[in-house]
Amino acid sequence: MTKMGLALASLRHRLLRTMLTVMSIAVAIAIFTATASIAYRVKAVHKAAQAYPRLVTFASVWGEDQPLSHYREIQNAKLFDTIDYLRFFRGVDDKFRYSLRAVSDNMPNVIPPDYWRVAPDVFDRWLKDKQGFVASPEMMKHFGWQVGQLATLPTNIGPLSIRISGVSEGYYTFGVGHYDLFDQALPLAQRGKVRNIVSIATPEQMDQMAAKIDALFEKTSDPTLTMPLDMYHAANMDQATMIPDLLNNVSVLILLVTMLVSGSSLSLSLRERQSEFGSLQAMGFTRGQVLIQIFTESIATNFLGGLVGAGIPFLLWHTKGFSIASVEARGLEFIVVPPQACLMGIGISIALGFLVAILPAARIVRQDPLTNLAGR
Amino acid sequence: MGESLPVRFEDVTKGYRRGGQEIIVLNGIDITVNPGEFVALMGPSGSGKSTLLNLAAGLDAPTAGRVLVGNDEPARMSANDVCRWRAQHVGYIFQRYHLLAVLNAAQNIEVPLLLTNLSRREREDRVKTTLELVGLQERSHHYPHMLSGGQEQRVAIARAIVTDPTILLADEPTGDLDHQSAHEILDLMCLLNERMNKTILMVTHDPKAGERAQRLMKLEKGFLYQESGA
Repeated sequence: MTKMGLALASLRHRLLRTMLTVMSIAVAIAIFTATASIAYRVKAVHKAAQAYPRLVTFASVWGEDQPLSHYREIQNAKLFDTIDYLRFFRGVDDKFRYSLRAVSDNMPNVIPPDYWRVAPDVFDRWLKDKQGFVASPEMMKHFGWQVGQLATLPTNIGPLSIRISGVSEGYYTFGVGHYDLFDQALPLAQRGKVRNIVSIATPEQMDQMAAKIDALFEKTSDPTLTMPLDMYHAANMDQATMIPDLLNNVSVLILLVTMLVSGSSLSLSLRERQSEFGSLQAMGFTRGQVLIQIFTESIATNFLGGLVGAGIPFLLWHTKGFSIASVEARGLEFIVVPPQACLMGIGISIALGFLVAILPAARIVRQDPLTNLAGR
Repeated sequence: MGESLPVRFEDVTKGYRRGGQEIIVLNGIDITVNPGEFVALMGPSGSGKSTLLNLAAGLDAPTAGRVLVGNDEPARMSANDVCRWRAQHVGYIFQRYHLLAVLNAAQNIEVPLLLTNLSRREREDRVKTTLELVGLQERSHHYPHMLSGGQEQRVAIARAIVTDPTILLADEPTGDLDHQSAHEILDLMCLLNERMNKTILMVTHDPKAGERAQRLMKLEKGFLYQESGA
């Protein structure tokens, strides 16, 4: 036996209480880890958007489509060397949520294949085939597709006839197809309209170019609003970050409640064992050694809870992966559970273990051995 | 084997303040327990017997006078020093055993050894030897709730002597035991005193237990009023 073994013996002996405490901590840390992961992903997407300097042009009425002719006009104005566009659609299967991105064949020049997690050779194949579709592994598995086969994909704009060009790498459930493929499936009135136009620009000239684009349509019946893509993302982030902010507040509350539960459980346990600590003191354990015993016990319980709590979302993500189509549609693509979030969750659980032990431990060591022995 | 040291109480007075009143528990006590001597302290409840024991263990400090174990005066030591001193010099046996319920007999005995520099192997050897000495080698893996009162007290005695302390202090070690178990525990304490030359100071209510000691002292209302034996 060691001093550590002595500290942990009590946890083993009071297994039910230990397990209940561990479970309550695990729930709190799981919620914390999940919300921290969302916040982490939001930041990562924002950072990724900044890495690709582009402009986004909307109809000046926020969220409305604009005629594709705008795209042609911008192209004809030769403001930029390259121009590209992107549109989101979604799947219609309630049990299996997926989103679809319609991109032009110029997209690889704007957003490299690694951003989409698509291997370059798959992208090349897709470029040659306007009916081609790059699906995620989850979609391939769900629909039982094989690369090269023709398939019908149910979407919110009707069924799409697609040819599976390749498989992307990643856990999220979205597929990438050519703009023309999607455009053909739209009702005539909606064809040729894009939700946004994404253009490459030199970063230092972005504001100037945005003004030039908007000037093109200023006097038309479809005026535009053009802004840097990261600003567009930032606007989306403001909405998207509300979710993790809200969840963060909830998780802080849950952590506080867990702290109270864990603290009262420890306090009760120490009070019941007051005479044990008295006998340790009578044997010659110093205050510091008794404190270490108590803190070891508390931190070990919380660490175990933290490990389970952080491990559940991490394992879920690694084995199953989870995706929220509505979040993806905002450009968040998918939720990851990064090791940083897990480590932070475990760190917080350890800190909780330390914090909740301070008062009960101080109470025990402040008492002289005789008072502790008498259990008063 | 650790050396035996004398325990000297020199004009010791101990008082407590309770409800604004000063209560004198010990009043000018002068006692010397010689090295290797087995002394019993008797007296009614509240006579100050246990207080005397606590002073010798450094668990409490006298209001006046001195308590010396050899040349050490625990009351003058810092909180940490007195703990280290106690771990090295004092074996304490409680009336209610105070075994740790979460540890088995062998582990309970090993606890004080965690404060020493002994290796795991040395600790295990020491525990084994001590278990044999108290006759519980077959019960080493039994938890306190699996043991009888007498067996629990044997484990407590083993725990008190495993570090080979200078003095052994026993606070009514037979108080919670039946006649037969009490007899066995007293036999064991006599054995420790005779074979290992341990200095033992034992508080008891039981006249028969007191008779087993080499010297018997009686306390009443904080005064030492009778002394008999060698």
